[in-house]
Amino acid sequence: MDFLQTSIDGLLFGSAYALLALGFSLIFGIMKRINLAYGSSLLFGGALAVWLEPIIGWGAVGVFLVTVLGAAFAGIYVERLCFSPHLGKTGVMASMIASFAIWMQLDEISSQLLPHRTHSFAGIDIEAVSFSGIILRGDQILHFWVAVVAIGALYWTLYRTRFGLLLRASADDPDTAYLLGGKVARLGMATFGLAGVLGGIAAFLILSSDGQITPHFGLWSTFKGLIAMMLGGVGSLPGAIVGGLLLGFAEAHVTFYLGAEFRDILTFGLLLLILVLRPGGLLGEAIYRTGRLAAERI
Amino acid sequence: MLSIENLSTSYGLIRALKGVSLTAEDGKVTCILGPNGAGKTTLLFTAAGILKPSSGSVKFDGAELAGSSAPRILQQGLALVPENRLVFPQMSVRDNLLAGAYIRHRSEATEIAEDLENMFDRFPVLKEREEQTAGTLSGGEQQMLSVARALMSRPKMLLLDEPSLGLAPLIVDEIFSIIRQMNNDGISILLVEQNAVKALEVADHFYLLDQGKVAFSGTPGEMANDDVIKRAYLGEH
Repeated sequence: MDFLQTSIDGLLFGSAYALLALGFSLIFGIMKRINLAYGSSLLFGGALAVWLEPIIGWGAVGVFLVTVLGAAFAGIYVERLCFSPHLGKTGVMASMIASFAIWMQLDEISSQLLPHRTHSFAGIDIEAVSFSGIILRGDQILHFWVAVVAIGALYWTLYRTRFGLLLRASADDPDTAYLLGGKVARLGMATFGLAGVLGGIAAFLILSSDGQITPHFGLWSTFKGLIAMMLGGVGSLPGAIVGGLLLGFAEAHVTFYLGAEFRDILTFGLLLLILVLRPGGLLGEAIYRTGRLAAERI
Repeated sequence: MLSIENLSTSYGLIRALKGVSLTAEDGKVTCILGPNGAGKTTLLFTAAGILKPSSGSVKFDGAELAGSSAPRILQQGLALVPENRLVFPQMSVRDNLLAGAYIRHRSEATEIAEDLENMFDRFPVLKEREEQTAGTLSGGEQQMLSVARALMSRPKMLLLDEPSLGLAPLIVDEIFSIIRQMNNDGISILLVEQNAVKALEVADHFYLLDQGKVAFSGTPGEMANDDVIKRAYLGEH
């Protein structure tokens, strides 16, 4: 029974990791770039929401909206500053290093918005559900459903809309997408905005579950998102979802059976193991193969 | 009608086109021959708006297109099928075709769906591979997809850049019969080729491009009788 309860807790929490990883994967899949400032843009959204909360009011709804919009805005800011000036072959390193600098900048701004280091973050009270001995925490059920809706909306956008068609075409070959009439110059902004929205939703879920925010959240979410993405397969969207759920599952079990101090050690151990056995990540094999094509284009 | 006048394009200090003038008539197949590095691809890229000319004019149906963006030129009805196919390898055949219609307005959704079916009728092999990713297709199938994708924008004129490159002889025959068929359907064609023998079967007019300049212009008959061209392109002595 403990095993089942822990598994469910882990998978429900893992759905927020999946959203974090999707943000990373979206940027990597479309731009073939790693955005190191991703976690800090989410931190910025959360910090801005806490800072503005007394001004706006609206309780948790206002905090949610500001977190998501703030993260999307910070994402677009990062794209304009670090990625759009370095689109060519030589820009891979330049954009990553530039995003490291903006990571520091966004972390500092967020620290200024959170002068007491630890601030309370609007929680959502939903009653726990229990059936035949299994208890499901209300906020975790919310995690799960919000993640399902967000992932559904992402897939709908990518596979059912004209914009998604252009985004996928541009991920394959931006020059040809331009030749077919796509205005690809602004797609980077749209991608970062979309990744910011996904990450912002994940940030709100995680922070409201914890009931607090600290300036460490940026680094924390960059790590969790990157690890979940690498577990599932870099640049693969289904991989990001599987990687997120697996990370949540593994962390819950390690915490329950061995204690919280072992959690990060085993997370990194799991990552090492998967990268040794399957270098492309769990579902990343296809991406890994075609990745060579992508690498030639960069 | 596409009329190019005194067109020059440079890559930095290197002048790839040095004042090229040529016309491609409506309803005809016009072929540009020339050795590697003659500026053939540069000419098509400049006409399609990928490269900006340093001087000269590109007029299509009377509208000046020189210096316009690629999406705008496509909207005028001039579509480029680039060399080496360049399909979207990770997208399905169907999505590749839909991407070809990206330029068309949302309100044309039903016409686009009809055109999609027309492409599947014209290229049955694409229908068989509808849900496969384009990267899994053979070279000839990718070339057909690339042509069909360009047709999805409903162009008046196609700019075809070496469609026979790297394909087996049987497939080359098929590609050229597709070119003739498209031309019979009323689409004007500006064809860049190295395979002069095959080009003779379809083209109405020839240009020879050499070192960024037009070195010869004439009908297929005139070309076949030109000693220099015979030796260099038709392999006769």
